[in-house]
Formats: sequence, C-alpha cells, structure tokens
Amino acid sequence: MNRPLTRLSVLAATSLLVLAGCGQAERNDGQGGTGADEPASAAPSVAAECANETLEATETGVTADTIVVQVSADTGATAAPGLASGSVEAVEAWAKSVNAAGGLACRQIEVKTYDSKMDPTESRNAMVSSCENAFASVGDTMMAAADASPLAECKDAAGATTGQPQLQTLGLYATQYCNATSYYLFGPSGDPCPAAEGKRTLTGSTAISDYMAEATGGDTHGTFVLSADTVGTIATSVAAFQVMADDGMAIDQMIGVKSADTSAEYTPRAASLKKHGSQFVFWGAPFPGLIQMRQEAATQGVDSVEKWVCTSCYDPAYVEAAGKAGAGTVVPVPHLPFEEADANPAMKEFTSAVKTHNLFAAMAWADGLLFEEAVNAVVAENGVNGLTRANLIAALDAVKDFNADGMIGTTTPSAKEAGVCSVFVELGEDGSWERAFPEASAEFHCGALESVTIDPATAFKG
Amino acid sequence: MTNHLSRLVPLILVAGVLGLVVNATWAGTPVTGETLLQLLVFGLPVAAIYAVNAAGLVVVHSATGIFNFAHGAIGMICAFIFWELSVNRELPLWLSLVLVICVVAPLLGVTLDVVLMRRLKHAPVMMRLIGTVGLMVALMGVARLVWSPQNSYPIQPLGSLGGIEIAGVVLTWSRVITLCITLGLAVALHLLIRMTRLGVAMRAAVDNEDLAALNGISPTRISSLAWVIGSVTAATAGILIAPEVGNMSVEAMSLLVINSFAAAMFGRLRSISMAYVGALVVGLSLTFANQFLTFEGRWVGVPSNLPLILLFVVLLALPQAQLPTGRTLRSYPVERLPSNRTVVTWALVLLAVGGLLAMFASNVLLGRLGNGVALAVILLGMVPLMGWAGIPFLAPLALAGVGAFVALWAGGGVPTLLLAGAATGVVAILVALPALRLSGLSMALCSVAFAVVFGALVMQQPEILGNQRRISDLEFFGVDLTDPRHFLGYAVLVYLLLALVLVAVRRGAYGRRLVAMRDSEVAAACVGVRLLWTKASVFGLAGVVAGIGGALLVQGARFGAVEQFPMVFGLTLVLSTMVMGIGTVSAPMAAAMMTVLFATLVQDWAPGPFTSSLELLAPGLAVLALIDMPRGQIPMFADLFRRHPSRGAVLVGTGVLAALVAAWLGLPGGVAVVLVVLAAVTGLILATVVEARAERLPDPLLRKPIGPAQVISIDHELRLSSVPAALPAEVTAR
Repeated sequence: MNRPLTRLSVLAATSLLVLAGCGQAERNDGQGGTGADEPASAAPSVAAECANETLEATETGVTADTIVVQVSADTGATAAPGLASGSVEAVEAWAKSVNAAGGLACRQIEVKTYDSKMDPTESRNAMVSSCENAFASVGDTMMAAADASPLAECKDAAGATTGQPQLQTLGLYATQYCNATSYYLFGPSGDPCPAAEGKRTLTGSTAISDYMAEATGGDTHGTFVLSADTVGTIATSVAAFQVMADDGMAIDQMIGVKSADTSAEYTPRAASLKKHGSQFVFWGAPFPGLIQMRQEAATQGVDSVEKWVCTSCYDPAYVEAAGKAGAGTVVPVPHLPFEEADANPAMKEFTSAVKTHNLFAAMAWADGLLFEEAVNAVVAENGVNGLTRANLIAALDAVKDFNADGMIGTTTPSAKEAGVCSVFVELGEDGSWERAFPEASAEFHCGALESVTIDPATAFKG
Repeated sequence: MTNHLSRLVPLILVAGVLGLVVNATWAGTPVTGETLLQLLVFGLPVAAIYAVNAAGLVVVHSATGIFNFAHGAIGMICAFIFWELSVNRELPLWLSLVLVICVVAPLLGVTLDVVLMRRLKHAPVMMRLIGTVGLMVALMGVARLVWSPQNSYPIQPLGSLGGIEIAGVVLTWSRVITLCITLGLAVALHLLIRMTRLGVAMRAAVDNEDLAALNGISPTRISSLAWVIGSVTAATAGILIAPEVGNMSVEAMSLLVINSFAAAMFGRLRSISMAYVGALVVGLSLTFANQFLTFEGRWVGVPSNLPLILLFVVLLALPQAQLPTGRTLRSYPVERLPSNRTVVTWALVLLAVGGLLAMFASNVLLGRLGNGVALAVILLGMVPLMGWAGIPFLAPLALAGVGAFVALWAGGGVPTLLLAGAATGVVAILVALPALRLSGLSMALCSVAFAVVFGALVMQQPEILGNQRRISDLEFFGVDLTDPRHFLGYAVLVYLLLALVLVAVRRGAYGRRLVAMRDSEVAAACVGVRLLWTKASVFGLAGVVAGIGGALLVQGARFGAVEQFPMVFGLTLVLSTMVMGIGTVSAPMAAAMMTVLFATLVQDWAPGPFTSSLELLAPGLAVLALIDMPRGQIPMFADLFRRHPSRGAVLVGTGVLAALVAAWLGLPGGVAVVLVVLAAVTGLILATVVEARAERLPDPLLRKPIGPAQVISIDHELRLSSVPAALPAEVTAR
C-alpha cells in the first residue's frame, strides 16, 4: 500500500470512529452521562420572595443571576472508567431540583464539571479551575488528589486568600483532607491532621465490629482483604482492621489484592480461607475482586464464612456482575438504603432524580444539601448579596451534626474524623438489598471512634 | 569460559537474593507432598494464562520478526467482540466462538498486516516495538469508544460447574479446558512451525526474504498468514482469559500480556516449548510467593510483580546475539544539525510563544503547559539515548521519578534541579551497567520491566513517593515561581538551556561517537569508540536530563506522588516523541505539547467520549506516520518548509482554517474537533501526494545534502520498501 493510500485509510478510520463516537455519546446520555457545563434547568425560575431584591455579583462564581459550582470527579480514569460518574450526575440533578424550586439565594445554580481522571495532576488542575470559575466545589470525588494547595491558596474576588470551599464525598489522603476549607460527609480516613509518616495514631470506627458481634453473637475471626494497588491506600485500611480486631474481630490473615489479579490467583486465597476456617471476610478492595474470591470460594467448598462484608459493593454494577454469587454480601453504608426511599423524603427525592444509585452519588447529593444549608445560613446572616467565600466557609464551619434531612448518618463536616455511623444492608438471593442492622427503618448505628498506634507501612502482613 | 562466568555471576547473585528474601518472608507453611501438589494445582492455571499469551508472542516473532506488544490488546478486542455476539446479541456460544476465531481474528490479522505490520517488518527494532505499542494504545482507544467503560461485560467461563479435586483443591472444568487448549495450541503451533512446509517457509522468510522468494515463497503471503495465526492465537487467549479477569477491563486485558514477556523470552522468542517452561516457572513462582511467603505492607507488590522481576533476570542471564558484521548498512541522513541561526531563532520563538501564553492563558492552561514543558524536559533526556545512540529505553518516567524524589528530599528549590540531575545520572548509570550487554528488543523489554518494577517496589515506598509530598514555596531571586505564569517562563528557560547544551553535545566528537555507535557498533568499535563507556555515559546523560525534568515536574505541580510517573503514560510519551522525531531536540516539546493539546481538548474544548478516546487513538494512529518517516515528522516537515515554504504554509493553514471555520459556525465541540482532524489529515495526504509527485531524485553531483523526502523518493525508485535487504531487521532501515 502506498503512503497516500495509507493516510486515506487513516482518514476513513477516523470518520468511522467519529460515527462510533456519536453513537457512544447518545448511549452515554441515555445512561445519565457526564456532559460538561450543561444547563442545570431547562426552565429557570426564581423564588417569589426574591422579586424585590437587587442582586449583585458578589464573588467569583456568583453573578446577579447564577451561582456556579464545580464538581470534579474521576469519571474518565483509564484504570477505573466511570468510577465517580454518579457524583457528577447527582450534583447536576440536585442543581436542577433546586433551580426548579426557585433557586438558591435568589439565583440559579450552574454546574461546571471537571474530569480529574484519577490523576494527581488533573486533580490539581480541577482545583485550580474551581478556584478560577466557581463559587465552591460540591460533590468532589477525586481519589488521586495529592495536594490541596490550589484550594488553600485560592483568592476571592477581592484578592484575599480565603481558600475555596470544597464539599467532598470522601477523603483518602491526609495531605488533601487536612485542608481547612475541605468538608466531608463520609469521614476521611483515620490518618491524623496534619499529615504524618511512620508510626502514628490513627482512628477507626467500631460500627462494623459492633455489627459482627450482633450478627454472630460474640467474638469472631476472619480474613481482611485490602487493595494493594498502591501502598498509600494500605495505611487507611490497616488502621481500620486493627480497630476491628481490637473490638473482637480477630485477624486470621490479611491479603493484598490487585485490580489486575486473575481468578486463578484467587484459588490459593480461597483455599487459605478454608484452611483458617475464617468466619468472615472483610473486603476493603474494589468489588470485582470479591466476585472472583466468592466464585473461587464456592468452587473450593469454603463453607466457614458466615459474613462477606464489603465496603464497595452497594452498587447495581456489583449486583449485575456478581449474579447469584453475590447473595449474602453485607455492606456498611453511610446513608440510608436506597430501598428505604419511602421512609425519608430526602432519599426519595434523590432516588427519583438520580439514576445512578451508589455511594458517590448519594454523598454528592448530600453535599448539595449541605451547600444549600450553608448558603441559606449566609443569606440569613448577610442577605442575598452576602455570598462570599469567606461567609460560606464560616457557615460551613458552623454546621454541626449534619444528616442531610436524615439521609445520611450524623456527622460534622469540618471535624476531619472518620465516619462512625452506618446502616448494614445484605444482598438477597433475588438480587435485592435488605436492611440487616440496625433493624428499625430509617435508623443508623453509630459506633465509637477508637484509635490505634501503628506504622501502616509495616503493620500489614499478607 | 569467561562468557559462562559472566552469565553465572548474575544468576548466583539472583539466587542468593532470592534465598535471603524467602528466608525473611517465610510464612511458616509446612512443605509437604500435599502442599507441593497444591502448589502445582494452583500454579498450573496461572501458567496456562501466561503460556497461551507467550505462544502467540513467539509465533508472531518467529514468523515476522516483530515482537507484538499489542498481542494482549488484539485478544482484548476479540474478547469484547465475543461478548457482543454471545451476550449482547445472544448468538449461540459455538457460533460466536466460530465467528470470532475463524472470521474476525483472521480478518483483523490480515488488516493489521496490510496496513501496518508488513511495513514495520523492515524498520529498526525500536520502531517495530514502538509501532506495536502504538497499535496497543489505538486498540484500547477503539475498545473504549465502542464498549462504554462504565458498563460491565461478564463472560461466563467455558465448561460446566464443578471440576476435579486434587490434593484438596478443585481444578474447575473451565481451567481444565484452558489447560487442554493451551497444550493443544502448543503442539499445533510446534508442528506448524517445525514440521510443515508453511512453517519452514515462515522461518525462511524471517531469516532471508530474498532467498525465500527465490525459492518460490511469497513473503507477503507468509506475512499475512503469520498475522492471521497470531491474531487467532490472541483471540483464543482473549476468550479464555476474559472470565479470569475481574471486570474484563480494557486496560487489564491489554496489559496482562506483559506478564507473559518473561515466559516468551525464556524461549528466546523462538521456542514454544521453552516458552511454556518459562510460563510454568512464572506461574509456580507467583503461586509460591502467595502460598509460602508473607510480605509486609511496603513490599506487598512483590508477588504480583514477580513475572517482571523474572523477565529482568531472564534478559540478563540469556546469552545475547553477536554483533552483526559483514552486512550492508543503509543509513538515513535525516537529522540535519541545526545551524546556530536556526537554534537562536527557534529559541526566541519558543520564548515568545511562552511569554504570550503566560500573558493570556488561564491558570488551568498554564498549569498544563508548565507540566507539559516539564514532560518535554524528561523526554529531552531520551534524545541522546534513543535518538542519537539508538538505545531503546522505554522508561523515561522511572528516571524522572528518581529526580522528583531527590528534588523533594532536598526541599524542592531551584538549585535542587542540579542535585536531582546528578543523582539521577548516577542511578541511570548504575541501572544501565548490568544491562549494557543488552541491545535492541532485549534492552527495550528490560526497560519496560525496570519501569514497572521500579515504580511498584521502589517509588511506592512511603519514604520515597508512596506518600504525597508537598513543596510549599518556590522562589528564585525574588521571583515567585508558584505563580503559574512565572513557572512557565522558568520551565521554558530550563528546556531551552538543556536543548542548547544537547545541540552542542551533538555537534561535538561525543555526539558523533553516539551516532556512529547507532549506525554500527562494530564499525564504531573498529574506529576506537569504547562502546561500554559510551553507552554508560549516554545513560548518565539521559538520566541527568530526565532527572532535571522530574524535578521540574514536581516543582510545577508543587507535590510529588508515585501516580505522576505511570509506565504506560511513559510509553505513549516515547511513542509521540518518536513520531515527532526522536533525534531532534524539538520533538520532546512537540510531543509534550500534544499531551497538553489533548488534555485541553478533552477537558475544555470538546468533552465527550470521542475526544476521550482520541487521547488514546491519536498516538496509535500516528504510528502510521512513523512508518513513512522513520526518523519522525519534524525532520520531514522541516525539510518541506525549507524547500517549499509556501506549500508548507498551505498545509498548516488547512488545519487552522478548519478550526476557525468551525469556531465561526459555532459548531458543537465534538463536530468541530472532528472537522479539524479530518482537515488536517486531508491536508497531510494532499501535501504528501503533491510532494511525492514534485520530488525528483537528488542532484547526481550532490551539491546539496539529501533530504528526508528525497530519501523516500530514492527508496521508492529503488523499490527498497518492497525489496527486503539481505540483512537482519535491526539494521535494515538505518
């Protein structure tokens, strides 16, 4: 083939890909999508009580008629594509809902999105973008964010270094969540602030060990599994394991698994469950590995495990991918089960407005509610033209015992402590989730916050 | 005797280290007949996965001389098509299998051969390898475009539930089937290559195409057949492996093949039976580590990286091919040394563009540009190593990671650049010393193993880059470099300074020695070039520059984390630099700016699945350009502009005009991007056609130097692209 012909083939290939791309876009839109900068409401409206107000542009991202918020999330990461798309969808749906009800602080909410790609550099760019364009970050879900200095050093419209308010769904690294203007509903990991290295005191909740004691009638022993994709994530898991172990869940063994492990590599792991007679498996890694482990355990005749506890499995994708192998999986969730939407108006609104029902989506929606509460507090204190980042930060700092109208476990967003309240749900044979603990509908179980002093880099043995 | 000793010493060292590791991590599991039998039962299915992939690598390399980095990606695409047919379209399983293995895979093989592989066959080894890396990246892009990564694609394993119980461990029927197919494949491929006329023809065509052609063998037909067999093997592997991979992710399926490299190299890419032995060794080692050893947190990555550690060992221990002598050598005089005026002019242009961008760009774009310039400095280190010395090294970001760590450790200030460069230079030499005897493909694979193992076991340590580290202040003579505008100017200055130093090096005797070594190590040695010293020193030089780049990267980001230096990203950067022209100091900047362009495209201009996939597709498709112009696009375009400035301007104008028209029409981002891409490609085609027609053979008196376009014309006239030279592919196209 000569050169021009080769290049024509590239041209043809490009054209085909364009067509494929168009088709893909349509499909994604149908699934909820992650389109950027879409108007949050088709028919903007402003509450009647705002009719007599003269609105002004008061801050970066706040104009006379709009409040711009940015949601930065890992939606296009090569390693985990679509991981946090639920966060984006939830924030957009929340904004649409607020706008439809008349807006916030007499303004419409406009949502900007940024794909942080699970990449530290893009995560940093996301923060810079938010600082430049948005009033606040809402529903941020950036797993690889390594540094929060663009938020901490963000200047407001007057040129003062107030910092950019950031309402995160979850925090992994102390270097990021220790930032003074970051707020969490699903507590950060137990690492102390400011970030430390080596042997240190970390905290963890006893909620899971409380559940296990309740479910099994006393002390148990089992296998703890964590993600070994990066050494950094081991620290947070090991501290939680140790807290559980100190509270009656003895450690048979610890296993580090990687996302790329094949099922064949799970065979010896399943056999070791059998050897130890583990009564539970605590899964602190991405859920595809649990499916592999459970399939292998079933094949190898492991029958000692009474509880498969998984932190990442309350997700329709898990139910679909696991099929019958997923039955009996127990998940501690920091929000009410989606199945209890009828018992809580906030959850009801979330489930009807957002198609993706997972942890990130629920917490991002709750972040929206927190933002709403803080903005309303600013308006109550300073009027509709008092919307500045400084005022918003003061309002967020003042929020105590927030529970998003009962949708999530009670928490203080500025506390920077690990979350202690959960509801435990169990997957049935028919693929539906049912509340397992506590039994009463719309209730959470809040454990105690315990501490352990370890060096996470060496405490793991697996 | 000396040779044997030199091979034995590293083996003894490795055995000693392994002994110490096993002793230190022994979990206490008793070694009994039962546990050893269990080890075998655990290890066999893992080995089968590696073996089936290794077989594909060996058969393709045996028949075409190309090491197919994209083997896993071909299997991945076929597995996804299998899912599409059997699950999504609900076709019967057998029909889906037949369609994929007997229709789709062969068609894919033929297409790849015609479009890419047949033309890569005679390229230098570095380009052949990078070509398949490009193909892998492109196939990953296609898969992400067609099968949304947000959905799950479960494939049920072949065979019914249950299995055979051996030593208390159940070996499932699906794994029994996999083992049987793996063994069957081995026998079939062995018979095909060793016992059939077709196999003899394949080997003959690799050894000497001319001679094979004289004996009635069609090299074209043989090449197509080899790729058909390779694709069918890859498809079989993909379908067998898909149920074993947790979520059938594009990335996991495509990169799993890297773990099979050690097995394939165990058979020196020639022997399928030895590759199977290698796969068994890898599978058993991995299982042994999981069953008998315990690793604490910081070393948790050791077991999963064992295949690459073994690859490292195998490459170092294997006897290397002798240096080729007594053969014709064709050398492309492609990289013209830039004149002083050119250097100064382009340096000023770069500074002016940097200044303009600093004035008008947003902070986000400035951040990306600063990061891009730092990447350009890292890649600049690859110019003397890969471009001038011709040493294929695919781990630029691993070297950069060393520089980043040293800079952070020393406080992150501007003077730490020098310290980072010096330390990385030393590390590069130390890393290179055991690998200096390697060349070509072995060196390239060794660098891949180094990148992965170094990233997973060294850079992941909390004390190095496992825990994120911050740089709070960055100032130089009162200038606040935390301001992205200032940092961009500073980064551009560092780049220019290093580029000018490298140009000076290239002009000097040392630069000529490097090029001489690239063209012919034997000839260079004959004229007194000390090969080992020259190789070690060029590694050191590359390390210094890449280390400075790494330090610059963390200064710009104001933090350091291991995630900033991923191996696959490093591969795509090297690919882009090669496409641009790795022998020129401007190529790294062009390649790095491409990453900035794509990031901006995806984030700001045209977010969506198409542009997101384009990030992967574009470098892959660019490989086609690499085939036409082995030394890269920049030398070719520089030549075009030098000879026909107006024609070059029209070319560039096509893309710009399309962009302006799209903006004026207010087209949606995705459509606008597509228009620009199509316009640019069309412009490129037209320019090439016009150029090819206008180009005449060079002046026979050679009053002017021969340019790249004329080299292509000469090749065309002499039919060099279709008549293979009687020399090994490593030296054919130099």
